[in-house]
Amino acid sequence: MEARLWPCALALSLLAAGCGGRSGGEDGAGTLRLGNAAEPNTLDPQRMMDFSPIFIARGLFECLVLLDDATLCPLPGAAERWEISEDGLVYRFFLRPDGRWSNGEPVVAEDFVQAARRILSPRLASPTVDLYFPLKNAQAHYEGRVPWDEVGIRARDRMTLEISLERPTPYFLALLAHPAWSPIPRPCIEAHGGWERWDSDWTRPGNLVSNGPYRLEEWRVGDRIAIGKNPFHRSAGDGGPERVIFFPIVDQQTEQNAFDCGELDATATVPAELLDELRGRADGTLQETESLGCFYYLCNCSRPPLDNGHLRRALALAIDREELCRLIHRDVRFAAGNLVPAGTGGYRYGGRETLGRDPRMAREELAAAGFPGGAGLPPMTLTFNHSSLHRLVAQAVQEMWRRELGIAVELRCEDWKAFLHSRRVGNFAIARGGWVGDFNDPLTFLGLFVGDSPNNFVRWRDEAYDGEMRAAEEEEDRGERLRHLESAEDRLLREMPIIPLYFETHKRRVAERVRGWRPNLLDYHLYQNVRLR
Amino acid sequence: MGLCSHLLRRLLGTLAVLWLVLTLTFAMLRCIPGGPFDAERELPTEVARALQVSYGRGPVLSQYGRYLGGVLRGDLGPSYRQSGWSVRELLAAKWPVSFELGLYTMALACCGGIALGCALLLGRPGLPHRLCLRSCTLLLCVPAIVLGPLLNYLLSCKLHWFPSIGWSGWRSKILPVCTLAPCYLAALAQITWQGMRTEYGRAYVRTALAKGLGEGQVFFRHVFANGIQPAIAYLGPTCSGVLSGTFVVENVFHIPGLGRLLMEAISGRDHTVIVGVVLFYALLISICNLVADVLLALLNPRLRGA
Repeated sequence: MEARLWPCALALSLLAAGCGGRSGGEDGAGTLRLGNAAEPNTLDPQRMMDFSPIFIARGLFECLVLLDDATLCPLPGAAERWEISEDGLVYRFFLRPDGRWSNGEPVVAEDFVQAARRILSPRLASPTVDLYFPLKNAQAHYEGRVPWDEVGIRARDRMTLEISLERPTPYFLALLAHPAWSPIPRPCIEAHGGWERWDSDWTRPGNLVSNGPYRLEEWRVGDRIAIGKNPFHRSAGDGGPERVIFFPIVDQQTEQNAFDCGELDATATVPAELLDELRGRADGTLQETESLGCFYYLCNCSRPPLDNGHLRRALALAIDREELCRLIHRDVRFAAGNLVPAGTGGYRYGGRETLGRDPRMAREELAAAGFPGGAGLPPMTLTFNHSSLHRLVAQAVQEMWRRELGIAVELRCEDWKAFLHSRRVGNFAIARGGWVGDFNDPLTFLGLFVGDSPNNFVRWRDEAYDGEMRAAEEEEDRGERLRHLESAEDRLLREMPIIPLYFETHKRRVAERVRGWRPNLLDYHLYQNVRLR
Repeated sequence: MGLCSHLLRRLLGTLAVLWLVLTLTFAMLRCIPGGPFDAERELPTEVARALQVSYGRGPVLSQYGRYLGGVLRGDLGPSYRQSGWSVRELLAAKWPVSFELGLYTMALACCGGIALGCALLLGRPGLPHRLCLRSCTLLLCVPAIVLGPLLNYLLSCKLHWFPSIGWSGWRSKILPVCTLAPCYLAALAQITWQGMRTEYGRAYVRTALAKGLGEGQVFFRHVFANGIQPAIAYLGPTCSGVLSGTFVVENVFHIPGLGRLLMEAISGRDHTVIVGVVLFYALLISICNLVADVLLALLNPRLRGA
């Protein structure tokens, strides 16, 4: 009997040995493991525009200034201090004498000059080149109108960088925290042929030289990116995580499972359907905060029937934004009555045009547009990209328009790239829109709808709006500037080329063992300041 | 000699199929809307133009000519989405993962399925027999998209027996394999059982038994060799499908395999990666079908001359 049982006992013990213990044990206690939603397409700080590479770049590269992750105020980064001229046109940055690249070479002012030179080269085709345009003559140089020598950036000496601006730019320091403003290790990039080429391998582990608190250790495409402490950075002995691993987990449920299993310390997202349950939990792992993002619908103003402002206003006034917010956020606080989220760079829209639900007025506007009760309105399509969230919003809005205005709008779901194509060529009547700010200033939102903006998908051109935006750009007084921006937003909300629906939020689950992970508008985190228990 | 010429014909046919697959995929990709450089943030016109130049995206015919030339030299081009990575590098990083997952899955499915099929044949009819058959039907009906999250939730999240994500260490491989294998195991069990049962009913088996040969000898020397042939025919295309990656399982368990690579490439219009992966699939399917044909020919002399 015993002899017959021993194979079973062996199998059971093997199973127990294999299954015992917590999963994810390969990563040590000093490792911060983060969900990162998508595979980064590059780690070149001058060519990234999505959030997944930017989260990693914040660990790898250190810009002239950092942001305080609680207040988003500028803090010394690669520059230990700076001076601003009285007219706000010249910034002088004094670099840290102990600043080092991950290969031990010193970080010098010329590295920032070279960064500007590289990004302003049209052949690099950087998608974030416009972040350099506040520099004097930067745009003109990019367009080939002035030589490099006339661009407003130079190294006064080895450790002093001087930047001259086209005009006073109140948000300039906030702009400097974007990875596009990182210094560039020119010799390393040139050694791998990446000065102007997109397909260079200079950003691979072993090749990439960075100046931030971490350096690249491992990049397994579709699996993980690991960064480890840069021994030459001043924070190396401060006790932050030894390693940070970013997992590009696309599937939200998979990410939640990994968090529940203890294999992730923070998720990148939280599905809406889990919000009520997580809010009720006492573990406090759910972090929700307002973000610098707004979700809206775009109305194609270049063709009938939405070239009619009354019709656009009718559509906007018929929407119950609180109902939408209950669907998306399980919270009515984030209903968007305007475009720019409150608190963006100290701006809070207080104009006269704040949107709310007003079915009576909506019907009057519809009649004024020439379609009383929806009669005679040509068929319209609401186009969105494939996503359960976008479908949910579209169906809810479709029903509101049917209920309040008696009009039937057809829904069209397209895959991501087909949708972008349709939006770009103007093949839509109403389309899903939305924007998350690059920097903490209202300009990042309001600049989208200036007549010649490449992101002006609605093809709306309004002299009054453009005039207010120009005036805001040229205004030196901060209060006056904000007033111009508010007038511009007034104009936008009166003409309604877009229909704001709700403000985005950052939602993450952060494990109890993570200390110092402070939620903020920009979802900006300094990994070296995080502590792990 | 017949087998050799058959193999040669198949190899030439495979080359033609690969060219056709490449050309059709290349052409179809140019017909669907949206390009690799379309992004949420619209690129300024001059940036978009510079990008097209950087990746050599001129007129379609010259692109095709350049691409075909590159493929003949073994160069599948750079990935448009994953800048700094070539398609060959991405394939080299991903296929071993998908291959390993597929190999374990098929090993489990073959061993379990064929053994179960034989056991069903040799076992006496009764409740266990019926239960086994019903279980096979049930397993065939449960898709990986249901089984995967279920196993992940129960065995990883609740019981913490296995990691929920990743592909490193043998423990991380158990759930993905157990998600993928059951339907193939069940299918193989049923096909094997049916194939063997048909063979058992044939006159030559009755003759062999009547001549006094032992049941085991008849089974292994005659019935098995013939009865397994439908299962081998099934395994050819199935193996290529499983070995080349399964998107659902890779997505549920965050496995960096070919299935996810292809899906992400399609949604990102990464043309070079799509053509590269499809070409790789076509090659794999051709090889698997060829191996299945050779095996069948070895088992069945009547097929050698065909």
